[in-house]
Amino acid sequence: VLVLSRKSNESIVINGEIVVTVLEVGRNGQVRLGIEAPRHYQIYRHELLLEIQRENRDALSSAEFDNVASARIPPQAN
Amino acid sequence: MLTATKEESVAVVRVQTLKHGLIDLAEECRITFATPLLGFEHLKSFYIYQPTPGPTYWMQSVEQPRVAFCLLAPFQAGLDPQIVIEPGDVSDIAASGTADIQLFTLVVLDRDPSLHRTNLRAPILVGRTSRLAKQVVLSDQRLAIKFFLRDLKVLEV
Repeated sequence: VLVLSRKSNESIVINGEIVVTVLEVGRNGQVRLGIEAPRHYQIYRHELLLEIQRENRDALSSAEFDNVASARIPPQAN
Repeated sequence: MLTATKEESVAVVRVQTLKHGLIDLAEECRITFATPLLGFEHLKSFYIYQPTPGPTYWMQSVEQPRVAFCLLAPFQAGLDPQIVIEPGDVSDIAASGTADIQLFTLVVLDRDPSLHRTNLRAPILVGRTSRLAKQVVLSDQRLAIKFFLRDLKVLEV
């Protein structure tokens, strides 16, 4: 792991096109980051990605249940 | 094992599915993930098919017959989640923009049907023309990752 020390309003640059700036370091240990990156980069909180991955895996394992072969969810009435 | 046969002018492929055995599908049901499904980076190609009319579909892996997902077309199901997809989000899978996109959500089935749920936060987008797909994680925190389908006002017909 590359470890860099940065203070408020200092930045790092990744690959010449992503700039991560430390905006604020709170007393409670929370750090606010500003990220400038081209639009095609998908940037998420890590725990959100892990939650989506877990949900995807749950979707896979649940597909094997025998009693839901049709998985019929009728359309809602208008 | 996939066997291609010609039937009139539509290319039909025999596909081994997890849920419905060996079935014949139009080749155009096949999609390829341009960026992989999160957690399933090794799987690229799937068939999306509907065993019965309605808002549910199945997405069957081409590479692994034991891998299949239940999908929901949420708008068809009567849901109206405020899902906003920007043209820039789909430029890699639909050159003509969001009008050319089909949207599905992954369903987590439960032995108790009242606990079936779907993930509105990370829908699967499919380019109708390109047949390319991707899963996007939307930034709108109001979209539930675990939306319980019992919350739909279901009409039994």
